[in-house]
Amino acid sequence: MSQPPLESTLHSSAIQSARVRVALALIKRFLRHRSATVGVTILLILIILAVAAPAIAPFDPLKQNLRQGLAPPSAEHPLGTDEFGRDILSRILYGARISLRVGVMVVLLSGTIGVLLGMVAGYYEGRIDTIISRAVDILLAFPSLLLAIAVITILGPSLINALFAIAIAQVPRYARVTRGVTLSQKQRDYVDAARALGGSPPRIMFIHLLPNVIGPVVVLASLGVATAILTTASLSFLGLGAQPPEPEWGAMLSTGRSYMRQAWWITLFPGLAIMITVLAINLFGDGLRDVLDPKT
Amino acid sequence: MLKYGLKRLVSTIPVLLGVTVLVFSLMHLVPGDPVKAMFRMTGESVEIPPEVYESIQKEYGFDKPVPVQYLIYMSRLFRGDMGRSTIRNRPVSELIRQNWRFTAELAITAITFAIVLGVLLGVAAAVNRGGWWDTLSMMAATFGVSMPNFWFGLMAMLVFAVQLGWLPASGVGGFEFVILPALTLGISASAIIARLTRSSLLETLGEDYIRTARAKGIRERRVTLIHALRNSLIPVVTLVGLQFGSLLAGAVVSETVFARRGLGSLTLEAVTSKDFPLAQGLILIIALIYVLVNIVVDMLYATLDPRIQYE
Repeated sequence: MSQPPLESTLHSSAIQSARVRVALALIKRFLRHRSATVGVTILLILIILAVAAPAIAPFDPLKQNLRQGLAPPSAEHPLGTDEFGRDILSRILYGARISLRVGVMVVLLSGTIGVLLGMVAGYYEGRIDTIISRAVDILLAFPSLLLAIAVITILGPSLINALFAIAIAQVPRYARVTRGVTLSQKQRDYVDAARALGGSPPRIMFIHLLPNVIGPVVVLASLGVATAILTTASLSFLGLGAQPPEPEWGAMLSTGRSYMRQAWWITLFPGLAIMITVLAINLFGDGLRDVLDPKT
Repeated sequence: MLKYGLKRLVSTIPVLLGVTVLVFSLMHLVPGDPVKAMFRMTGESVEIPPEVYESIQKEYGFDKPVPVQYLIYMSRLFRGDMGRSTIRNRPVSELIRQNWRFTAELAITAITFAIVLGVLLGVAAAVNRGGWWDTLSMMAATFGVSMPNFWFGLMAMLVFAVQLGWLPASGVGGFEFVILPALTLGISASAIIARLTRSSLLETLGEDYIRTARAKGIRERRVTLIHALRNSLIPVVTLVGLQFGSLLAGAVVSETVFARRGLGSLTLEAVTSKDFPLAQGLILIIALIYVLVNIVVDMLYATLDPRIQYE
């Protein structure tokens, strides 16, 4: 990447085109990353399948057909049926909608709160930093699955409560990373310049610091979607997340456990769906990290 | 060394206090009356006789201001009193005493498995950088972190317990009972350890002192295993400490899959039946162990790398 000459950086249009060039270079580097492109491809297919689920699912995911209960994979039901005769393939397709949505929402929620807290702590330092950092330390003293379970103890088991619980459990990592990056970015000249020009703290934080802080956060967020999907499935499997008859993958596995001896397909396929989804997101996230943060 | 540990312990006190505040507030964050909450069986309220209500309110000090209640909670805690489980009608401390060793057995077996497999795969990958071993073990690791561990457990149960009948599918007992649950619990930790071991070993292999060792004519195997591996395992030690915490929480899942006794399945039972004293006690204990394990790991870290000093 060639740096634009100093005088031209004074022109905002030149800065703009430099930014575009950097972005294009990053995208190019990302696309050359083999496993990342595999991840993105799988992910795109999954998103299309999830969006198109109502159109392509052969059956209603909730419709019971007791005469067809526990039917093995066949031409009619490619992945078999569960104990109520519901089509597993249709349920997995609808389940993709739930899991992808929950994953993204958890990250948006926890990322926004975490970045805000981390930036405020890192920018102001002093008392407010002590308070935020201590709170983060305390939350980090709980393994995140345990913290999510504790939150569900308060809120009660349901999919939306699981979403909140996982989001709360993920806030500390965003706060910690953002605080660290903010502390180091704050020393840079561009922040001094913004301050000298009379920029208010919120303006400095959101206009100037945020774009420079967001890189590591984006990597964390992409891997966070994977963690969120896995944790949602775990909680639902335990009966603390999605409740029947919702076609959530983890909840499907929890009923599959009771029928494992007669009907392995109930347990095999939803688990594969989780693994493929999480794998795709992890490949994508690893690629993103290699591109955005070549040091690690 | 001991001084470092003590200092580290003292610095953890605010965090530990915060943990107790958080666990204490669990009871108060639940909407509704705490006494009624304590008596709620599997989510349904039961009629409580007024004299029982009052005696419980007095015993727990629910009629007093919240900060006073916290002090009462703490003074009970220091006497080892964590309240009574409402579903089991037994002291929480007794239930923890009766069940901890099953979880300890599970967690220790799991972390041992994770370390052995993770380090082996990581070293194999780093030594054969770019080769088949590298590709294979890193692919296995990527699958390992992407797999829901309870699903892996169910599949392992299907194959080794149901189909082949080699191992028991559930319960506690001899070592054969812990194998599948420990594999289930340790699989993702081993994948994470493998990745870090690989990258850390590759970094160390690029250091000057490794070149010196090679230049001295030391055999490659010795250079890798003696000179490089020891130093590259330092970050792995920290990771193991962190993983041990998630392992304790993961025990909830693994113990549920294999219907195994222990703190994990007890936690799930407490949460689903809204047994607040029991849930509080278990959450507190697991968090405490997690914090203490990390202090021990930090001490270990300081021993392995003398450059690390406290503050």
